[in-house]
Amino acid sequence: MKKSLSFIFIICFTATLQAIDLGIGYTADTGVHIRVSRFEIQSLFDKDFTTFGIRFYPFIKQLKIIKQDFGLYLGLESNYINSNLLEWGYAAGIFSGLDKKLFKGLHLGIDMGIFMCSLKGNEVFTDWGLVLNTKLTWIFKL
Amino acid sequence: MKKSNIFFVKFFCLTILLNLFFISKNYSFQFGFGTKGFIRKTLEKGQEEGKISKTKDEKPQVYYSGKISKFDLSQARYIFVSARSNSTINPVLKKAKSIYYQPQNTEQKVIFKIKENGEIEEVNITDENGNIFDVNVNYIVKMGTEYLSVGLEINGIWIIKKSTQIVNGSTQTVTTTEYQKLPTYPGFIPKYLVRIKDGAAWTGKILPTDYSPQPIRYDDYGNYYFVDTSERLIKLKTSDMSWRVITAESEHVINTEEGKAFWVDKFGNILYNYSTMGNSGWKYRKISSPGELSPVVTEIPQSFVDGYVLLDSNRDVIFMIKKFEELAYNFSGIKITSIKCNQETNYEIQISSFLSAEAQPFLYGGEKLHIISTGDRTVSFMSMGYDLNNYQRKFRFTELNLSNGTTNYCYEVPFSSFNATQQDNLLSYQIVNSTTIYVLFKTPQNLGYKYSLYVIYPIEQKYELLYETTRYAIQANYWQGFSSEVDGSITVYAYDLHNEGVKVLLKIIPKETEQILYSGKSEIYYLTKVW
Repeated sequence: MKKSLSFIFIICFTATLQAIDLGIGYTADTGVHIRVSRFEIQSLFDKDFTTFGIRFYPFIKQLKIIKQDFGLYLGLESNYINSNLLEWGYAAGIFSGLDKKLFKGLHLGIDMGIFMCSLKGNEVFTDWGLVLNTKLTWIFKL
Repeated sequence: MKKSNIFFVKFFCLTILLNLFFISKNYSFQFGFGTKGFIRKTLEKGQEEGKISKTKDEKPQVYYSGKISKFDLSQARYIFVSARSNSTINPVLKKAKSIYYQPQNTEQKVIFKIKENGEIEEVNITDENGNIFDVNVNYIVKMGTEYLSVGLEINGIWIIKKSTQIVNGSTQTVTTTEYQKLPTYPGFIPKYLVRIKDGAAWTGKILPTDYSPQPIRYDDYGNYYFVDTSERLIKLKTSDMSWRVITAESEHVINTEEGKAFWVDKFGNILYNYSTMGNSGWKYRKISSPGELSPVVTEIPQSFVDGYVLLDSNRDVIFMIKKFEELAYNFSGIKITSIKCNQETNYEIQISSFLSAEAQPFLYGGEKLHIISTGDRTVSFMSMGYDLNNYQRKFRFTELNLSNGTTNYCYEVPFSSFNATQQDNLLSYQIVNSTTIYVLFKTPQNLGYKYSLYVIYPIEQKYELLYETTRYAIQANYWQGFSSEVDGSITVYAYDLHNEGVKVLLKIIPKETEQILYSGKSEIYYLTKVW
């Protein structure tokens, strides 16, 4: 847990050195995130667990679809899962999605990716899945 | 759409397709709305399969002390140490252990037991909660009839977790195991005292080791006596598992052909041969009450004790036998001295001795005498020497009456009776009691060797061939606690000469055939009869 938080902190600090965009937002459903340049830290809340994770967007491309501007992005996500039911848990995946500026700095991002989740309860249980994520982010330039 | 954008869209689709293609069959695949939704689905699926607890209370409490508390010796007739092989792993743990023991740990040695029905099973070593230790066993030494001294290193522990869960709609107790590595200290081998009757174990700072096999003596009050690696005489009190050094500072117990020179009677009186700063002598440490030593130590003159020391089956008196020659009176015989201290003598030392004209047990002079058994004021000896008439090797069995110094019987068997001519044809002998002695010979046969196991009955003055083989090379080492079973069968360790590298444990059924209890490539050590 401490290692994960330290790791997130180091990445965010590094990213801040060349920060252009800063963002704060809501991750569906029941989560918050902070975006710093191409990095994002997020936390998701459930009655049985809480996650602490990081997203990295290495590729972002602007493109037009049906005369509308979109940002097409690819990324990686990794989460540590904290729960009373588990000794440990991790979820990670790769995704790709579209980002649409709604108005001013408010962006809506929808992406889909392949995720893997590994949980250690009485035994280790691992599963794969297709995950659709929706994020609403208020981005402001520094 | 720009060319580069088309590339990104294609890359996205291809990534998803490739991932779908490579998903392992071991995993399911599910769709989740949001990472949280996906994690929740995974959690619920794990709970359905009983791998994750549904509530915090269901979560098993993991606890282990790291302290060995029991060796599972139930139903064990023999135990031995050997490398673990998958075929002999306890089936309950086979799956879990195979993860850790292939193939880098094939030399790891564990204890196996041969059960009454001939089955071989690994001996589980557990803590007080039943968690099973992953160990590497160095040695086993049998202490009297009730205890074992075991040296082993602990590598880790399999924590057994049990929890009550609802699996597929019904409440079940789910047992899972988890391996936890424990810190090891290279070069340090922890020692354990194991009680045979129930397998209870204690950590021991000072216990007998296999460093140099020595006699382990005991009294009738739960005390054991042995010499440690510093050659100090140690008394181990099993009532509270405490130990104390008996010998004085700078004294050490002298080593003889028969082992370390010390004897203990059933009350706990000790006679020992010591050496210190260039001096040597004999000391008698008497008791103040049964099992409890008095601080009084008495020096015993060499005129009494320069010879054989032994106890009879009553174990209430220590006897000292000295071959005696009085040239002036042309007398040749033995001097028997007894020493005792108990309630009868009001805890005072009582020494008495007499001369006897009999010297038959000592006929071979320089040859080593083996005490094969003790009876009520009798002692039986076995010796090996040359027949002065034809210079043939032979066994000689005699029984000496300690009360009057007379010889009860004398039986001689030449090696030629066993088709053996040389001393090195005799591989080993095992003494069960004064009536039964097993001897193992290895004699040339065509291009190889024949192994023959005989039994000698000295009192009945006869011998019998029990088993002979040219296929199995019977190993005479590690015959700790050797004895025959009620049905007369004997368990031995051998190499299969027809299958290179194969070792076997043979149950020899006299005059019939052998039964293979174990067959494998692993070497077997410390084959020990438990009871």
